[in-house]
Amino acid sequence: MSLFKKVDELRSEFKQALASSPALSDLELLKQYYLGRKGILNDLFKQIRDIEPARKGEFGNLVNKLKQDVQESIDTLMVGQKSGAGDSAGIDVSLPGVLYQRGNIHPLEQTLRDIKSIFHRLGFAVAEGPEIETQWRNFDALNFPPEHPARDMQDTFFLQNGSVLRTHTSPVQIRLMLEDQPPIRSIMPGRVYRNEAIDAGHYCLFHQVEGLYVDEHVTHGELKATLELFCREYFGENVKLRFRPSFFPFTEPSNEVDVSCFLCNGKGCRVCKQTGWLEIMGCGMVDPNVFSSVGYDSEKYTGYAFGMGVERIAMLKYGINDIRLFFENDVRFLRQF
Amino acid sequence: MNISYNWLKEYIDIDLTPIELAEKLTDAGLEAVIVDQFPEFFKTIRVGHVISREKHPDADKLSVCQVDLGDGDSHQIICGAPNVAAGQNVAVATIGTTFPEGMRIKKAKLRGVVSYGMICSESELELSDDHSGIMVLDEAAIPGVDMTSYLSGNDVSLELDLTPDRSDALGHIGVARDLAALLGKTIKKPEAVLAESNELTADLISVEIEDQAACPRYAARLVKNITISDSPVWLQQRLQAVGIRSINNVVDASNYILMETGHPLHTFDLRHVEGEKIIVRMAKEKEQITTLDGKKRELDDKVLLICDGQKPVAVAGIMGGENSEVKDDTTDLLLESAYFDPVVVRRGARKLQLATDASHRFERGTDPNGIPYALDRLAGLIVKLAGGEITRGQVDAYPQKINPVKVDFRVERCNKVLGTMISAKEMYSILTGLGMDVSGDTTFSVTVPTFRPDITREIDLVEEIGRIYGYDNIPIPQHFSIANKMSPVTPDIMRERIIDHLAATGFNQIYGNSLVSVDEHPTVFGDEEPLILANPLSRDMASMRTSLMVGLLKAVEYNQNRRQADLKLFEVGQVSTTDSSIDTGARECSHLVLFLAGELQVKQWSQQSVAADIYHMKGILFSLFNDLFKEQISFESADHPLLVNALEIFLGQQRIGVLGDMNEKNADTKNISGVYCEVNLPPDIGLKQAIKYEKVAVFPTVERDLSILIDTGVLYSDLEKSIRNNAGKYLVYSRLYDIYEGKSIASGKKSLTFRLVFQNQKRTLTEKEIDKDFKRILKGLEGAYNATLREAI
Ligand SMILES: [Zn+2]
Repeated sequence: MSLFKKVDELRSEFKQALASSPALSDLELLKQYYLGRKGILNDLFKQIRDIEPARKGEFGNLVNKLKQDVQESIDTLMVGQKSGAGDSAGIDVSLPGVLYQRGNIHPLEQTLRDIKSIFHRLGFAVAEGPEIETQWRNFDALNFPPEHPARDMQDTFFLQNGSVLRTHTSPVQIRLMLEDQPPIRSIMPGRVYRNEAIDAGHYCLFHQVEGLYVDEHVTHGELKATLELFCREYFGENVKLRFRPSFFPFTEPSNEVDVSCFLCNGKGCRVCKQTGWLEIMGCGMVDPNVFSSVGYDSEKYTGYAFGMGVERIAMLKYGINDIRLFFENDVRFLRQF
Repeated sequence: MNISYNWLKEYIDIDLTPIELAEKLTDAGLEAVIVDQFPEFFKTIRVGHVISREKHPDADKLSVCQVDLGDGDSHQIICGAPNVAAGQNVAVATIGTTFPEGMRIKKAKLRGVVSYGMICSESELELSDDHSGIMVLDEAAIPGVDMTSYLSGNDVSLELDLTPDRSDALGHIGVARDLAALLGKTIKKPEAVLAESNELTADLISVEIEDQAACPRYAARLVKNITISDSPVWLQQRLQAVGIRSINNVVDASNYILMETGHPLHTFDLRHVEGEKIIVRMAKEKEQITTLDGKKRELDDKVLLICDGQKPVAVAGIMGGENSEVKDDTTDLLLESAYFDPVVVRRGARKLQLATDASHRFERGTDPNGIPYALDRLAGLIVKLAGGEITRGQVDAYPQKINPVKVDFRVERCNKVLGTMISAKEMYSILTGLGMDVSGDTTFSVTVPTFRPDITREIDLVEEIGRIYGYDNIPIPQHFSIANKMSPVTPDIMRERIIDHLAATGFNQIYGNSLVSVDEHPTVFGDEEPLILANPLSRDMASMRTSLMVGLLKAVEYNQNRRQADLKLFEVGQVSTTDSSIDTGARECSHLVLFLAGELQVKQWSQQSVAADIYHMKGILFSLFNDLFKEQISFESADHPLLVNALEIFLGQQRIGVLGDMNEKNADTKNISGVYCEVNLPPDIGLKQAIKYEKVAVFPTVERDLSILIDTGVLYSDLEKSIRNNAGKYLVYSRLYDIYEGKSIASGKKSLTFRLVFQNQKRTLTEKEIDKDFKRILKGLEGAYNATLREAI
């Protein structure tokens, strides 16, 4: 057999060997067999002396080419074998997984969604309105008389054009009632503004969720029931509620709602200032004067309204003691949520 | 407002502890908390009686004292003060006391003698700067009593956080009245019985009210020959408990009656009231008065003044004038008890930027019919404290009597609003307990006393019923209704989907401040006119944001200053611009801002790092709009004042946003580098597109790669368009697979490789069909862009 033919034969033999999908260990053997120091190709090379001088160069090239092809083929297969599953020889499965960086939803957005989802389940729609409002919708229509100290309760930012930055989301209640007839059952989330010095407890803006239900036969008892359901869902099954009399111009009667402190189970701690109670929201029955500003018959309809601060609830929930953290946007803070 | 526990007990018999009292008041809507008047460490400072004092055997300046601390033992305490003496009562810091600066009292040996505590000076107790010697306490002090109890006379202060409607509770009697209704008790209102001289007040002074709407009632009394002096301890303690500084017996008496009745009173030095008369009138424009605080104030015609025959002597309901102030040598007084219109006082206080105990009460509404009582109480107390005679009678200008309001009240309606079944009888007793006159059986006619100006309507009485009955006693229904109405899908749901999508893509959501400096309105979308605040907190928060860029840049700067270089941030928020066609004067839109900087993907052992660039931003937007919302957006390159490599983003024909690189050499963007994008979210985004199912093709796709050489200046978007236009109907999509410039390619040329994917919905494509399309595509590129085929695989 000519040595040239031998080269061809070895090539096809090698191809057949590969066709049987050799395992990694087989590849090692093949490599040894063909390419090792005492391998068959080195052996073949040595036989170059038997070739007629004119064709020595041609033969050398041919063997070299085969050697190169074998080397490449085996290397490729070995790399494939190593990265594939199955045979674990040479694979360190303890190497870390590939990192897929997830982003984060802001804690206030998360808190708002938790609140919204509970009220969704209780049949409340969502209504929104602008952050810049007329004084009429922000105050007058809500039964804040002009020149009344009640307007001081909410330090207001006025615009040069006479509008205000809404101090609560209640103007959305007015918009809703002016657009539609009862029944109205909506929550109103949104950003509100207060002209207060900024410190750990106060920021120039915060977020509120208000709720409004107007229909025939809406009672204070039902308001209590709704808020109790909400608080039990949000703060836990065993939470207790306390309805304290309070004052808001747009509700009468008005209440402040406390929940038993879920941090100390009502025993008293730093956060609840040793009272065992956490003030969580305000609520009440819609004042008949509000109904008259939107043209509702306050004899026929009654309604309740409530409102809570998203920041306050998020701070309690996550144990955050400085409201400014929400607006600094430190990614090391944000990535915790 | 603070009230005193002991003081309150003068008007009502209660057996509640201070803590129970605070709870009870809170339940009734008078939110109360106990306040610490003195620091915590006073609890271990005790009254000690020095039994004996001897010289220290080894130190001249030290004394060895035996001190009785009320526990039956004698305690040895070393003291270095020169004034310590046997028989004194002193303040002893007992073992375990920790002073605010951290010093802790322990058993200690001083020059060989053991000391079990420390006798304190006033400066050590932070009561004054006096450190010349120890503080000597009252002879009657009881050894063992702690310092807080000693100083407060065993009283407890409660801070009331009153809502603005409850002006009736701005004094101890008012608080007692509410408590009485809650507990079913009656209050003990102190009598005002006066011994008057024979001189008629009306002969000595007259009152003239010019503006009866602003001042419906003004009453005065005169007290002569009084002696100004310090107040007795009991009065000082009372005032201290409610947080009022003691001045002298007359001023203190007036404050005492204020805190008793809730009615503000004023005392004038009669010497300086000229013309024997009081005139109540509006100020003239630019009229001036120097008030008690020594400030000269300019008034306008909305401020009400109290004047004598010559000059203003007080700003009505707000503050007295310096010219008629009671001084140490004052002997004759004019006492004022009046009712001023709440709105007038509020305007005046705002004009003067002055809030006083008096204005606080007048603004909320005082009791016009409580005026004579308060005036008599004050006259009586002054004579008791300062001697003198009260002239006969009040001068009471009350041209038009303010009568109590009558309100109809339906028992059934009240139960309907509250959701209760409270009986008429119980409601009757609640209302009468609050001092109202009630008649009728199922519909009451209720006469509301004038000390409750907040009650004018039936619903106000419903609140009183709820308050006293107790909201916690209102039963919770087992079932309740919900509205039979669909809730529409609102933009907030789409915003939530955007937020979810971006968070899943690796972005951190931020919340920026909407208030920005007037100078901070980067032209992201053009020159939009911001809304300007009339009363900003500070210069850098004086206008509303017109884009989300300012907040974003702040967040980036904040993080980069803290070595957080790899950032993927976004915010969804409202921005506004001036629009006079809207009644608020503002048009508001929802914007989305996105920012990329540094490495999008960090280098890992099996992954290369990936640096952020505008192509990532384009891809993110594409996945958001085209994939998530099925809205087709496109990009057009554009010049932008703040961004380089800028692109405008179009939804159909509508430009909805911009994106581009921020340049680190641009001061307008704080020299921050990164990829910026801001989109004005259409309000109906994602709401109108309904997804329609398309049958998945069963026939195989065929892929062909097309590599061409073209001039470097040719845009990808043109080539892509050409491919699409020439492809025929079987091309599903083309994807740019590779771009190559450099070695082996002629200069001025680049190689682009497209992967073309063909498919027929109805049958398998033949090689021939694909060849035909492929050639047509190539021909198009050759013709329009001088492309040459590099290699087709
Ligand atoms: Zn607690």
